[in-house]
Amino acid sequence: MDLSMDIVLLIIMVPTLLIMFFYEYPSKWSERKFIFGVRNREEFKEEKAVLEIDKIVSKTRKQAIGFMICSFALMGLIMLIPDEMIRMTVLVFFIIADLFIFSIPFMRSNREMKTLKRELGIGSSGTTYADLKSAGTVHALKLTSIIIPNALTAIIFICALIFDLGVTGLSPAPEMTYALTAMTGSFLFTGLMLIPISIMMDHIRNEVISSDSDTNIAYNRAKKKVYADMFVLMSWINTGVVILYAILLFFVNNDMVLIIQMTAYLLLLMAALVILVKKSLAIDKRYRKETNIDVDDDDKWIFGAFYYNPDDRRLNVAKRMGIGGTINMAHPAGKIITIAFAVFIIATLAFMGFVVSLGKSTMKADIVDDTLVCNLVVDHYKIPLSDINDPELCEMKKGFYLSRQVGIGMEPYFIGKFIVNGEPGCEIFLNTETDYYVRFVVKGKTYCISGNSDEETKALFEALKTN
Amino acid sequence: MVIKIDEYSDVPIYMQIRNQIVMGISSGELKAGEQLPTVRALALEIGINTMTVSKTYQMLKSEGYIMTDRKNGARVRQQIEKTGIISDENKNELRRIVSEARISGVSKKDLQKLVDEYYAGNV
Repeated sequence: MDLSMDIVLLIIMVPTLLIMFFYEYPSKWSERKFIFGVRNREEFKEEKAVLEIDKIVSKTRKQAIGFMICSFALMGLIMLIPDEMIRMTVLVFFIIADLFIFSIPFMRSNREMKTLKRELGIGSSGTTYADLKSAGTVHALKLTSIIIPNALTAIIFICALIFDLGVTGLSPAPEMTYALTAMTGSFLFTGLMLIPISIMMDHIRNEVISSDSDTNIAYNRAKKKVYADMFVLMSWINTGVVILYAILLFFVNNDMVLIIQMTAYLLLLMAALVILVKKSLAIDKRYRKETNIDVDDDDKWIFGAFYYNPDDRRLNVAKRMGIGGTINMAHPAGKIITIAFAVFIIATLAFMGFVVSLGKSTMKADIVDDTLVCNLVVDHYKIPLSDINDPELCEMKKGFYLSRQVGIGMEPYFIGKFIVNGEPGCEIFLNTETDYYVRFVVKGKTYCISGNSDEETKALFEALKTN
Repeated sequence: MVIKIDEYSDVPIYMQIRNQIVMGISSGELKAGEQLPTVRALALEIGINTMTVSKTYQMLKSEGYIMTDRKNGARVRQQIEKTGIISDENKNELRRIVSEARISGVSKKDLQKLVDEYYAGNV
C-alpha cells in the first residue's frame, strides 16, 4: 500500500491543526486583541467579565482539543482504507471538512462572547474612526523584494522551456518532457498571484487603536510589515522549491522528486507561518497597553470569521480568524468572489466524485451503429467507422511514454490529448495495464485506443480492420 | 488627528468630517500647512464613497480652511482669513445650544466656562 501521498497530507494537517489551535484557542486571552473574533475591550477586565470569559475560553479549548484528537484518530483510520483512490478521496474530503469543523468551537464561542457583551451592556456599534495622519501613508512592502524571487522563478521557467523545446541541443528524458516547464510554470503563476495580493494587503485600511497618531502609525506599520514579510517569504519559498525541483530532477525519479518537493514546500510554509503568527501576536500584545480606542464592529463579523458590512465600501479587511486578509462579503465584488469560491469548492468536490467514479468504472471501446464509441462513465470519443483507415495494432513496449497536454491522466486510465512517444496532439483512450492499443489517423489526428483487456483491444482491431 | 464618524447620527457624514477637521484646526491638532490625506485614502480609511470626502474638501476649501492643488493634494491653509464675524448659520446653532442649555438648567456661568475652555482650545 503506497502511503506517500497520505503522509504528505498528514504533514500538512498535523501542523495546520496545531497552529490553528494555538492561534485561535488561546489560554491567555487577556493578551489577545480578539477573543473568538470579538474585540478584547477595557470592559472585559472587570471581575464579572473575566470570570465569564474564563469559562467560555476553558470550555472552548476543551472542545477544540477533543476535535483535534478525533481528527488525528480519524485520519489514522482513513489511512487504513486499502483502496488507494477511495482512501485519497475520503482523505481530501475529510481535510476540507475538518478545517471547517475545527472552527465550530470558535464560531460557537463567538456567539457566546457577543451575548456576554450584550449582558454587560457594551455596544457602540456604528462608530468608525480614521486617523488623518496615517491615512494612505503607512506601507511596509518594498515591491522589489517580492519581484526579485519571482523574476528568478521566471528565469528558471524560461530556461526550463528552452531546455524542453530542445533549443540547447540537450533533450530531456522522453517521460520527463515538459515536466520541469509545467512545474516551474505553476510555481511562477502562484508567485505572480502573490504580487497583487501583497499590494492589496499593504493598502489595507489602517486601524485606529489610539488617540495618538504616532502610535497608530507605528502599530499599522508593524502589522503591515508582518503581511509584507509573509508574502516575500512565500515568494522565496516558491523560488527555493523550484530550484530544489530543478536540481533533484536530474538525480531522482520524477515521482520521488514531487514528494520531496511538496513535503519541503509545505514544511517551509508551515515554518514561515509559525514565525509570522508569533510576530503578529507579539505586536498585538505590545500595543494592547497603548490601545485606548475600542472600535465596535463585532456584529459585522458573522461567527467572527466572515465580514459582512453593507455600509463599508472596502473590499478587503484584516482577518479575525487566522492571519492575513479577507473580503467584505457585502461588497459587490465580495459577493462575486464568495459565490465563485463556493462554486469552486462544490466543483472540486463534484470533480473528485467524478474521478472516483472514473476509477471504479470499466473502459469500453465498442462499435455501435457503425461508430466507434469510447466510453468511461461518459462517451469520450464517437468516431464513424467510415473515417477510420489503416488501423495498426501497436504494443506498449518498454519505453512507451505519455505526456499529458489536456485530459485525464489517472493510472491506469489516460484520456484526452497527449504526447505519445514524442508525437504531440494524439487523442488517446488507453488502459495502460494492457499491452496493446489500436492506432489510426482520422482527419489528420492520431488516435490511440485500447479496450479494457488485450483480448478486447485485439477484437476491436479485427473489427476495425474488417470495416 | 483621529476623527470619529457616527453612522447613526442625523448629521451627514461629510459634515461630521468637516466639523472635526475645523475643530482640529482650531485646537491646533491640525497645524497650518499640514498635509491632509487624499480623497481616496480618507474614503478608504472610513469606508465611504470618495464623493463624500470630495464634498467635504470642497466645502472646507470654499470656507477658506484648506487649499487644494493637483500636485500637493489638500493642506491646511497657512493663513486662515480672520473676519471676526460669526456666520448667521453659526449664530443660529449657538442660539440652539444656549436655548437647550437653558432649558436643561445649565447656568450661564457654566456655559461661559465651557465656551472659554473651547475657545482656549482645551477640547
